[in-house]
Amino acid sequence: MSRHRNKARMETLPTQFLENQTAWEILTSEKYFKWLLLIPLLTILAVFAFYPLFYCLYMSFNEALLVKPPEYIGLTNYRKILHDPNFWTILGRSSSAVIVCVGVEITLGLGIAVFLNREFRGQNIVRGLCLLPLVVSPLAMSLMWKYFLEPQFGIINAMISGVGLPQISFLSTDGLAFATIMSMEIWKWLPFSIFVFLAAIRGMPRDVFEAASVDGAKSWYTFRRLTLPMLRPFIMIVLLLRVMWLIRLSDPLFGTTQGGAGTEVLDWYVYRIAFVRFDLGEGATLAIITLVMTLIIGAILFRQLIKALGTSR
Amino acid sequence: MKNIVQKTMAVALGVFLVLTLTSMAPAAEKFTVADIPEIKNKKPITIAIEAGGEEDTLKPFIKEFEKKTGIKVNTDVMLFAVMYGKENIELVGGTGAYDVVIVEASWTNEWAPYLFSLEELAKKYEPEGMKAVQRDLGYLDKGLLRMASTRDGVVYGWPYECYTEMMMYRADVFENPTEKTHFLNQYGYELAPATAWNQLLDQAKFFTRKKGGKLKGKPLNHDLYGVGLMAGRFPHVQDEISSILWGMGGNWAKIVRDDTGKALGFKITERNKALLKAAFETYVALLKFAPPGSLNAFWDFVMAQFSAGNIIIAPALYDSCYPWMSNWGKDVGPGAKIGGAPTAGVQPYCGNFHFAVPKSAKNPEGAYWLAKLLGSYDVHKAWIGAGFIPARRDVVEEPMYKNPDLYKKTGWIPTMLYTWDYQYPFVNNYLHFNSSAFGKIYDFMTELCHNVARGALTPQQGVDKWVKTFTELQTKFGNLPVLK
Repeated sequence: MSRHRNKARMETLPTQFLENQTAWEILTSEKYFKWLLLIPLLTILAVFAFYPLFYCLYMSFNEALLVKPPEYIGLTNYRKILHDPNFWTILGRSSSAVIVCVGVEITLGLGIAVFLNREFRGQNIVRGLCLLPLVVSPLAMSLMWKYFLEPQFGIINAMISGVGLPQISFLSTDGLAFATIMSMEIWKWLPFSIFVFLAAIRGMPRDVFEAASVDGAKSWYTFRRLTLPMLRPFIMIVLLLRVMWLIRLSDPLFGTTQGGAGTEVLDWYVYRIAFVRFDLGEGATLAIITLVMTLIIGAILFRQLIKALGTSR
Repeated sequence: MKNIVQKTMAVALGVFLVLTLTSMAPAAEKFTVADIPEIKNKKPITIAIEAGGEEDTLKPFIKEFEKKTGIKVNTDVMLFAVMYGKENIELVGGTGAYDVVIVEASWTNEWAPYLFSLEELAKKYEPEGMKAVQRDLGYLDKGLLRMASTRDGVVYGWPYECYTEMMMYRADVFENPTEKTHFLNQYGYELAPATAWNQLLDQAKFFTRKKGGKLKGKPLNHDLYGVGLMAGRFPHVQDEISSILWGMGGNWAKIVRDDTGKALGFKITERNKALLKAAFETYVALLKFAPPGSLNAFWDFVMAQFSAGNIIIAPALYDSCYPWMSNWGKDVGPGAKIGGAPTAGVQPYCGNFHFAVPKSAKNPEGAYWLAKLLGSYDVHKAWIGAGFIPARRDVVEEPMYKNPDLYKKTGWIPTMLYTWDYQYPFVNNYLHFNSSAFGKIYDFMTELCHNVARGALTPQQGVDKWVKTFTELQTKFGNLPVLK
């Protein structure tokens, strides 16, 4: 009781009177207590996020080969990477993965979510089955698809040749291999967009749709004019998260091509340079370039998300 | 008559005793767990082990070690794919995470600064000093031992497993009179396991047939391919291309030594370049006669294709793959027979693993004895029993392993021994066992060979890329220069 009274009094007293307070009283005051609560989080962030980030930045200006102390070389690593045609090829591949996967996941996810929103027999089973790819571990997923897609012994080719078509070398043909990797990624993450959109659709106010129905609005018109605008913040959330995750795409490569047949993407390249070749300077530079790109794209999308949230209210 | 019988029996008994004693004599010299002396340092030991059957085979011996010494042994089991990266960080960082590490032969030069040599360890812990170490190393193949040493000949670990590439082929097809006649008519020489890569190319072309074509005079119900290749972006593609290159008499780079044998640097000669281009061209040409999917393949794919009767020749498959194809022949058809021969040119990749003790080990004394135990005769016998190929000649040269009935369990031991002997004089010149940057070069070689195989680079572009990037990596990470 007395503590509450003290606190209340402290809030109203001029600053010079705080000098008479004990450190504990100052820290537990309303003004400072919130910061006290943030200390554990800030400490964790400082140790596990800011320090590695700044160390990574520092390393990117060094020739760091692990076997000898880092040597400052200025912007050499950046110059080397930005003049490397291989980097641009890989960046282009990663960018196409982002565009294709996000495009397909949002379009298809929205369509399936609208379909799943309807009442039908076995709806819960279908919804449950739709969720399955998301719970498969990434490594298991890549190995599973590798065996499914095997040209002569895989089940997919068995079905293809069963209908009289020629077998397809999905993971060893340039171009097709990367399309297959993107398909695996879409298969894995499509449920995410489906369920975000389904939850959003189910949470929409019914009265608006009932009013539209009474006014004789057709279903396509209702979808375009009501559902889609109200879904905009959710589309932005899926877009934001998936773009950031797809820039880090590498899981499907581990059990399948390991970057072969023209499937190497940015994250796999970073891993290979930093942790297979142990060229930590170049690896750190690639990581920083990736981070900057992610931050820029993330900031643009986040701004759009905030805008979308504003308009949907 | 009675006397003659008694005399004969006495002589026979004498001979038997002599034979028994002589055969026991070397066995008594062989190091076993019982020979481990009292170890003062009782700190627990952590050992890196490759995932799979290796762990199962080693476990009983590790338990015996724990029982004898009272030292607890922790095992850190990992996939080969992550082994270099994981161990490299711990070794270079001096973290002390491992007391015993697995070293692939081509990593030895790179990790030498972080490992105790066997001589250093023997001086400290062996009651007999280097004499005991040399005795045990004497049982190993000389070539494999060179691979497990630095370019200056310093041995850092106890080799325990090796993998030798060899050619596996359909002996029933090679022996078939119809096939032999057709081949002779078409190419003008006898059909036999290829001894040169251009012969292999002829055979690959000859045996590639469409469904409905004939093999041994009978119609095929599936497409048939001449060869199985491991052309995916995995380390094996560079093992295959290295086998072609070395088999043609080439090298990735020449090691230049002075009169005393001291290494001065590396040089990629015009001859090296020409032969590398020829090796790339041969590989690309062979790929036309390999099954679809070969550009994402490694040994499991080739094993599966061979077991299913889809290919006739696996030109450079690891010897230890055959014991894994336990059901070979089942799906191929009646009369199917597998044959084994050295790779064309007889200079395939023959790497090996050895157990070594890092300088950062918390219990180097215990680690030394554990590594020595795991390189001992008994463990090698267990290896071969489990379908792995050991590195000790006294084990693989035992008469029982010459029996072809056992090949399915042991691999083609005589072929492997022939390969080891044949290529011993060349091993000292292989880049793999001389560069201290090879861990990094190895990754690049994999990328390069795969890119040439898939046509992203022409053989000539592959050679140019090799010269440029090898020079960069060797200069950056190695401790020997690339000479002009």
